[in-house]
Amino acid sequence: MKPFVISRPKAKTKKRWTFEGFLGIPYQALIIVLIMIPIFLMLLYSFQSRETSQTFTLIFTLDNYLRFINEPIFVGLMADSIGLAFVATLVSLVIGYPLAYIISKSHTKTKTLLILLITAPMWINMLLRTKALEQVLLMLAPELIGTNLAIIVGMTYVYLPFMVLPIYTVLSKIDVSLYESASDLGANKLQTLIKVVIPLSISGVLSGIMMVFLPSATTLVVPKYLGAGRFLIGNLIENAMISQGDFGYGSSIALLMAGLILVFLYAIKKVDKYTEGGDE
Amino acid sequence: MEKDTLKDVKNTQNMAEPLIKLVDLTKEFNGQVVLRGIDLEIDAQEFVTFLGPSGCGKTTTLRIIGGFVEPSQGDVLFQGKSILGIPSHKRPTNTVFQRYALFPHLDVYDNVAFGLRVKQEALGRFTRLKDLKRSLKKEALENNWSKSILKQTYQEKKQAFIESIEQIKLDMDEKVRKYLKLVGLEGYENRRVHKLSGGQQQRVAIARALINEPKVLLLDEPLAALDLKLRQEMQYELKEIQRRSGITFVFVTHDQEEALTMSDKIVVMNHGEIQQVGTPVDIYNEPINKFVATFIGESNIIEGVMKTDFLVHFDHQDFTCVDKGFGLNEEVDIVIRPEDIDIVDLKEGLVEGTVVDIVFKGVHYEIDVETKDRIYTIHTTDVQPLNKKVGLSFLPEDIHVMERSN
Repeated sequence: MKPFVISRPKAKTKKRWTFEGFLGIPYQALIIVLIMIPIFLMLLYSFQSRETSQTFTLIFTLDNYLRFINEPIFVGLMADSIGLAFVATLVSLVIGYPLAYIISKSHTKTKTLLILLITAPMWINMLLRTKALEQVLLMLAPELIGTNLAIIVGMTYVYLPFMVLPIYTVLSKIDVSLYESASDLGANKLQTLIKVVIPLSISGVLSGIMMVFLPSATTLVVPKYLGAGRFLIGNLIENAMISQGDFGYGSSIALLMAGLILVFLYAIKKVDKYTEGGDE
Repeated sequence: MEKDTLKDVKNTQNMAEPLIKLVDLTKEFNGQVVLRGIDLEIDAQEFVTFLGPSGCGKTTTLRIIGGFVEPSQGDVLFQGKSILGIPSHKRPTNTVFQRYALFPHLDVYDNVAFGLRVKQEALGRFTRLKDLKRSLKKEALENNWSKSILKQTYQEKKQAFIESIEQIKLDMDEKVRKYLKLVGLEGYENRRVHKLSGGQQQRVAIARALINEPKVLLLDEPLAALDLKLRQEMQYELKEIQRRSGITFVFVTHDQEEALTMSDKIVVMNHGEIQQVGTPVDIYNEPINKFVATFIGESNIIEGVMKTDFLVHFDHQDFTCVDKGFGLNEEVDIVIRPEDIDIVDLKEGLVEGTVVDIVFKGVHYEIDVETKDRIYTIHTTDVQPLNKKVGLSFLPEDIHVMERSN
């Protein structure tokens, strides 16, 4: 009897394999192979000079970063990228929120149709869509090609669904009885929207902002066609990496951009207080 | 003497015009009729309960009064005027919802203050300042004020206005705290509502509705999610709040005990129709039909024939009763409540039978006695041995005769 009693706590401390733990293995492997190792390699590249990166001799250098920071035009490009992405995100939000609200309030059949229409452009290759938009602009207003406006229109057009869908999801989850109780307590439609609906949909708005801002800031295709071959940060990285084969330089730009985006995400998390507190 | 007559006049006026009047209220959902011609009067300061099984239309009726559902036909009169065209946010009603519908992004204080804040906004702080400026300018033109006088008066009035806003804020704070105290939630101001227990959430919902001082408070099964003990406590508290505030309460429940405990008037509903309206005592003692008798309390229901006034025949026997006004030899349903039947010695009883089942229920025993025609259920505090031959006795006033329902 006694050995059994003693062995029991031991068995407890042994780590047990749960079903969920097994399910997680492929994902953990994927994360290591596809995310952790590449980022580590990028870090490694970014701190090596071009000559040594071909061999196994590792020489630590800040040259790549200094090269970028000391080039005012390139830093300006980064500011442009973020600025344009910011405006495109704002425009997407202004168009997307009311649209998501309307969809969430419509009948089931209309709802399905509208969601279908909004996601329909995504069935077509993005390059083709951007090219098509370029053609449309060339026909209607050729002088716009190459301007900031054309790029913002392009970004908004391509990424709008990513703003609408998360907001719609959150809005459709809001309990109908909350609209009723707001009305019951004397709030008209506008007051209900401002005091109840918008605060409750903030988490959807924030994920929408991320989903639009991140790809907009690093897009390659939009500035290439709608910006008339204009360089934004994505094109700069492409140029360094693919055209010139300068992996160290490309990596350093990408990592700087990633750092800026990380700061941005942190700021967003700070705003998102409600979801931090837990939904239920 | 004069005072009394004055009071009488007032009373008769109140009698003449109920606070809420439902006229032939009918509602269809996708071709399914959920309400058929509801007619009802609700007086001021009354505690009215809609009682019935789920799907009987009681909640729909409440939601029509609150303005969340449009009736297909009929009218809702408030103090004699139809309120059907008025949206819910302008109606003189407030609602305590079934699952409370508290705002999850606000804390307890802000939930309770919601109605007051919304009303405050409706006054429009910004536009009022603008109006003030405009009216002053007009006055200045008429009286030929110089610019400096205009500026000075504007500053003075603006100051007074801001002070009045501050005062309103202070009053609001005081009021919120008063209502939190009323429902026993002092010290919970800054709690998130999802961190509260069911009973506490329910109190927030009540405070949030009451603070607007509605003419009518609508309560949609507000106690359904609470455990028995808490539910009984809240029943007394709600009744007490209603008595003190003088607000008309319209309460929806499927729990007959709840209805009997709290109400001034019970409206029993089934299949979208009103079955009976009356005081709890009336409803319990004089159920109008078989449905009401079985839904409220336990009953022995017996089919019989009304021979003449005060004489009813069932189970091959005649019994004296206190009911009259039925047709000669009309077929009727008879209710005898289990607690009205006494178990007596074999020879002293009106009916003879054998004890076939005994169940202990806590306060009383439930004893089934089989006679040659039926099994009677009896509630008594005295236990009887199984299989004992006993007599059953009941008084004439314990026999309730009802019209036969189909």
